[in-house]
Amino acid sequence: MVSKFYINPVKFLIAVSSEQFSQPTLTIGMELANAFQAQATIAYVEPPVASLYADGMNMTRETMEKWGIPQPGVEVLEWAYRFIGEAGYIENYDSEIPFQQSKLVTKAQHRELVLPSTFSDKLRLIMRQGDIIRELRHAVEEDAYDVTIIGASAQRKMAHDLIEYIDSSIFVVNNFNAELDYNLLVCVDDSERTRQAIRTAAVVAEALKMKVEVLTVSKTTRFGTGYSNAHQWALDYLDHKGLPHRGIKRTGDPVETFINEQGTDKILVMGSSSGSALKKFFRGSKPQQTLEASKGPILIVK
Amino acid sequence: MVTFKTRTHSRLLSNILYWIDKNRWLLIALLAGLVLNLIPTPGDISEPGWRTLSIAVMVLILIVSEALPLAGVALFIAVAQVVMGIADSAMVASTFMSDAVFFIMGSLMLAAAIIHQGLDARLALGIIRITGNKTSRIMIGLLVISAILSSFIGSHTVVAMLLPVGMTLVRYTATDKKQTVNLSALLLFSIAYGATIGSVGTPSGGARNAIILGYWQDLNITEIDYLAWMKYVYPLLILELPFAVLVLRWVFKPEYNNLDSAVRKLKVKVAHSGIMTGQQKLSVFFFLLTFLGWITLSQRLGLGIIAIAGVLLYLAFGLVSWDDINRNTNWGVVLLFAAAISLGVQMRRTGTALWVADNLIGLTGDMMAASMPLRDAFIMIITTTMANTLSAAATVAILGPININLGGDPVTAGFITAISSAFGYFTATAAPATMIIYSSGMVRSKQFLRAGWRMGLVSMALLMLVTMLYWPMIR
Repeated sequence: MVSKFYINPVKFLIAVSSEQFSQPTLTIGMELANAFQAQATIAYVEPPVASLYADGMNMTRETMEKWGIPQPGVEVLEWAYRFIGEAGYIENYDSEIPFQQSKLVTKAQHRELVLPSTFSDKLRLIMRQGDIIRELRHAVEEDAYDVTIIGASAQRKMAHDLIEYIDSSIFVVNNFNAELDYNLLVCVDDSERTRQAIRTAAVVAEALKMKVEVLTVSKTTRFGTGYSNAHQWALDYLDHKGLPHRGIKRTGDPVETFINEQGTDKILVMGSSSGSALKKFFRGSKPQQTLEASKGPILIVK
Repeated sequence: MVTFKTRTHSRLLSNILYWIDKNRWLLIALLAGLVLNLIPTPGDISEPGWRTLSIAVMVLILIVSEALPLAGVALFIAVAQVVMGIADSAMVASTFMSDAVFFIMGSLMLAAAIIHQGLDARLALGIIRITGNKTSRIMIGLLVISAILSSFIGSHTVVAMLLPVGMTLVRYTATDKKQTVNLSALLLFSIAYGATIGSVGTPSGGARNAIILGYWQDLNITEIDYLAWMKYVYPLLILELPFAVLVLRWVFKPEYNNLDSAVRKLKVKVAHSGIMTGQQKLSVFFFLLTFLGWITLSQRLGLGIIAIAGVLLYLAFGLVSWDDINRNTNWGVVLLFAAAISLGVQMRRTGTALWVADNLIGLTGDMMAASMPLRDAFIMIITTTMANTLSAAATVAILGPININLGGDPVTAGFITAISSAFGYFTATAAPATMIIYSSGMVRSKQFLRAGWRMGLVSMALLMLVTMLYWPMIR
């Protein structure tokens, strides 16, 4: 437990899409939430319905409810409920008691079920409908989440939208294998958010008992003062925290090197870009390119 | 304190970029309209005609991209017509309301009233009593009942009633979805395809049918009534059903050929609903009365007034509350269809429809004018393509006046437009019926194309056959 680090509880938003694809996201998301005694919200965002067919959809939902058939979104929430219940995150969880769809409370923008958590004062399951980025953005705006945890998407534009439009740190759970012992690989340079990324990595490493590797990549063989100082600061900080770590300096293309060093058993941690929004809109950013190319989990710290 | 996030200082630029990003299609539509209005008007079309065309282009982009809510698109059509000097506000207001719009509105409200009666359980019992336990017979039962019902009360109502029946059968067969991939597809696609095929059968089957009837009346082309429509289209509907059975059984070979246990459980489940209540009998009676009115009185009263009278009966006898009707009627759709019809009227009045039609004929080197089958095939392909990306009714509202002006028999052109706009087989989102079964989460998007292209081609071939062989016989 690392609650001593915090004055305010950390808030995690864990986005799930289906039983088939979201198991790793929920596993690591809840592990982190538990470690940080965070307020966790598990969200399912139902795809938007073409407004031309809205009346037909409403009628169908009403008849389905009458027949006792849960909507696909409710099925996902039920699966998430069972999953975290079996993992011991719900107080007095009883697998024999059926999931009650009727207990979902309808709020202005979503439906929700508040659960008694074993590790914090707030654990919620919520269901929203609409464009995924728009809905996650609104959820983060409404409840001021610190981290949004989400599975990887094949859509290229998703990386840009997640980083630029959602006002929280983003943890993309790409090819996460719960059987593996992961370490953290922190990408360090002279950018504004690097220190924040290192601090966050330290907290995560302590919480999940991981080793930290500090990676600095220069395009040329000469490492500038900014890069060298940032690298040294990271090592000193981790030393001070008493966390096992090692420093790596490499020369080459930064994004390519990050990906190569990440391999299959490291969670990449990097600060978000502090460049102009306009530049990032048209040309992207290093975190965005890394997120698009990475084959493993990646945490972008804001 | 360590946090995961530094709150950013100024997010104004980021928010502006977000707005631009999420509203890019709205901006593209406005830009397209601006460009069309800035370039010189071609000599052979009037100024108002060219401006009407620019509105049509913007509307197409807005509907396909859903950059604005449907009701917003409808309001845009009204405002643009007046602001761009195509018609004054009184004329625009009058073109927004017609019997066709009453009919669309009345049909949607009737559907909401019927769904409220809880006839779904009774329907389920009826179907399995006739079909028995064999999967092949159950799918035929679902397909045929879905087609017949949707021809009178619209596809989305029928799917809303039958989807829980299909889903319950699948869920009672096996709890693991992986064991029923094809069975799910077979039963759910039978419901959706039946509803789609049936929706052209009568004028009340879909808004598109009412729109075409409205255009024929406005242009004094023909006075086709409810029964005459059925005479033209029902044989095609009947012809399509066996082909749908073949296509679906060929593409989705079910994992279970017998649904004994599921049918038994379903019977127990629906048996709880008891005998038919007085309210349910009355609601069926009122629908039959409305149907009779459509057949016998539509020439005198108009289809729309009869549909609204039917709704009035349901309300007066307390069979449905206004709240229920209000909740289940998509007023945005009603407004959009009214606006699309209004735009269609302006396209005809300003000569836009004729200009587009002439240019299309010219593009084919006048081959279309010389060969009627070629013209019919052209109408069918362009309408099917557009309806698979746009809504069927909006397609008919915009393409209707153009297709009717493509030369040859305007009645044939109108029927082909209405019917082929229902061939929404190619994607999950092409038609209300397919969209609804997709939203159940029990069928996959790639399955739509697997069965859809076959069904689409078969339907187009059958429509051509009916156009060339059957319709000339009954004209």
